[in-house]
Amino acid sequence: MIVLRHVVKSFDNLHSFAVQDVSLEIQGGETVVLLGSSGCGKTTTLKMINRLIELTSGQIEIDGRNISDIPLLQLRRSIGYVFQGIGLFPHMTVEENVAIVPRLLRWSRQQRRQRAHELLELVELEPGQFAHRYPRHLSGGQQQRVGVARALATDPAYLLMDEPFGALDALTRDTLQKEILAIKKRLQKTIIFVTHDIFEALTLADRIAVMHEGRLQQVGTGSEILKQPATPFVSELFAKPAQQLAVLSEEQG
Amino acid sequence: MRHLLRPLALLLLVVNVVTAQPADTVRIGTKNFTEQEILGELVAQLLETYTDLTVDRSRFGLGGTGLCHTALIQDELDLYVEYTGTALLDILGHHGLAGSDDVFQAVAQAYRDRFDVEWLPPIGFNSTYAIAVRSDDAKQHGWTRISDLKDAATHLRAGFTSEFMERPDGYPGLSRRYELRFQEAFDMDPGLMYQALAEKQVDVICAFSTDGRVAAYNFTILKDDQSFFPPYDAAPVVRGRLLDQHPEIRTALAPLAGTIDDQTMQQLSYAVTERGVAVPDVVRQWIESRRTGAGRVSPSAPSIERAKSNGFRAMLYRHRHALVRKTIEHLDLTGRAMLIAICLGVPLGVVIHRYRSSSPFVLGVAEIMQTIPSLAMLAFLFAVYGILGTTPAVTALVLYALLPIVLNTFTGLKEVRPQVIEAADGVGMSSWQRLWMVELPLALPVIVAGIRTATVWTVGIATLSTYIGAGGLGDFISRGLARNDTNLTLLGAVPAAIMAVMLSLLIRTIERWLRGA
Repeated sequence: MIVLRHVVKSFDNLHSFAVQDVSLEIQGGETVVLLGSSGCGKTTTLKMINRLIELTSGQIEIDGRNISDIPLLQLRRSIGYVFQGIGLFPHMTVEENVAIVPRLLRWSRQQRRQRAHELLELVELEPGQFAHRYPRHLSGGQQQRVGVARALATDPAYLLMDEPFGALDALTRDTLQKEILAIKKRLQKTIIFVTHDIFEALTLADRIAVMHEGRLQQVGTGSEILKQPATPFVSELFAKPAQQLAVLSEEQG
Repeated sequence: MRHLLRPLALLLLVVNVVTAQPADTVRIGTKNFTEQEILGELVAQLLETYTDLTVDRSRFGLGGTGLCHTALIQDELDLYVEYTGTALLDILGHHGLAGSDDVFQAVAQAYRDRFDVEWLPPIGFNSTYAIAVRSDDAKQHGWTRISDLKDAATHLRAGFTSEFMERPDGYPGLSRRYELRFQEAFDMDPGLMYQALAEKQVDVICAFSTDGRVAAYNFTILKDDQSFFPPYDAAPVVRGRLLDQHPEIRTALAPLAGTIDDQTMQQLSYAVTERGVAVPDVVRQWIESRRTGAGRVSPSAPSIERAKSNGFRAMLYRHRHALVRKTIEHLDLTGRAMLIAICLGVPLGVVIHRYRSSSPFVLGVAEIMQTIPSLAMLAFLFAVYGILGTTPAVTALVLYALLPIVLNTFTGLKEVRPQVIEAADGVGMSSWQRLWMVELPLALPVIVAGIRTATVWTVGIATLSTYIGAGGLGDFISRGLARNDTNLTLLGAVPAAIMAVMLSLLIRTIERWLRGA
């Protein structure tokens, strides 16, 4: 379980706030999507969980331990992180990229290799074909599969995903979303997923946390939010999807 | 503490004695012009012939009086040929003495007292500075004395060696004594000065009275009617301690006293500079002619004529062994300097990337270092170390090579994309792991490009190492310049250029391979 309590982040000595008083509980095995437009503080919130950004005040606990009490590198190595855009190391092969955290943890070469190949199969990249390629020889979708495989390398309980599919075409994104759902079902991961795409949020989320201007607007399941938007911002944000859903259900009904 | 220091001091002493130059070797030096080279070789051959001593010639062609003198008193050199006037004015800082004997006595006494250096008897000729003009001009304007130039001077251009420009017995003193103000005074290489006068690029030069080219080019030496130039009697100067250990040096060189007059010196120089005879051959012939009583050197011997006319290929063939040796020396200098520069420069680049606020300072210092003229840097480092040869030379090369390496390391690290850095942090790399596993590998092509630039510079600058006796291809270049011998200059310059291009291509290949990987 990950718990955020009154988390605040200011980059300019409290003149303005990127994240303001966010409190949120993420249960084990749950997928929570942080949804909001760019600059709303969702990515900042995500990064504070593995301390890529240090929080200004409040606290974050993972399984009951305050993250500032966990040694930084241990914390980061125990959480899978899928980066926005291309976070792969361009000078390392696919296999080396996937096995980077095992390497930091000093697994043997044999173990690393075996693990990398398992994971490549999991994300449906044929190891024989892809293991020794460099990231620049892969398509965007393939690169992001490698990114997911890398995040899963040490079988972490938690996965943080920062708009991983933002730069992909709709079809590829669709496929990858389905695969994430399949992986999640199979591996029982707790996932915090950041996106600005409402449909992506509705597809993946057990619960959605809507953010706007650094504040949490509403937390709930997709249908809860669609039915009862808590603030004018949320209702406006969901107006269009709600309309489309209504049209769909009418047609079906 | 004291009982700890004493054995240490003893150990150092033992090491010193053990590593010191074997006592039966004489290290002979020369300044970087032809007359000096001939005299150095002459002393060397006499010692080799008449004593059991071994001669070390690696200090031939040092870049000036200051270097020779400092090397001598710091026990980096045992013997070189100095001129009484130079010693009096430049080294001792005396003025106002005239008369060959008086000056010699004064200088010899002062050297013995102050430096424990002995002056052997003068060789005979007086290699004084002389003001030379084209004979046509002299005839046309009726110039015979330096005083005659006074009125015309404002329309005349002078070409002087950089040493002459600075010395109190050079241009500053001359212009004061004779009230001369030339239209312009150019700082020129001694080897090129004569040609410049012949080709009317300048109208007046500071020749040496013994230089063979004065006669060869049909120049006229103007009379020093105000006795401005002090006497410059040439004589070997030797470290006193060496002379005590090996009194046979004095005996071996005794026949030299008073044997070479101005004219003979001119002929010997002429044989080298204009007829292209190798210095050792000129000297051997002279010694031979003395022994057989022939008296005069015969520079017009047929073998001598052939040497110069055959040009570059003959030169190449004649110097092939030396060329290989000098090329290896050059590579050695370059290689050592680059190794040290990389070992210092890359970490320094990493440090200023980490502590960004230090980067303007470090890069500023490295840039200033670049602007120091190479020769000044070499002379300075020699003064700092107190030793000649590769150590100060390599140090200078390292200092020049640092900037491109540090700068490119810094730039290469700075250009690593922030997403990649974040990914490295995100997967839990420590900052060292991030540096080793991500930042340095990604910056490597840029760093290697910096190393390539530095290598090309180093090959070039290493040609100046000759002036502090570090050898390399510069030996050919400086000797060629001193003799105005283009082929000899090219013999050093062409291999150096080829070396620079080859190394550049090699490193570029590595760079491509790194970028491709």
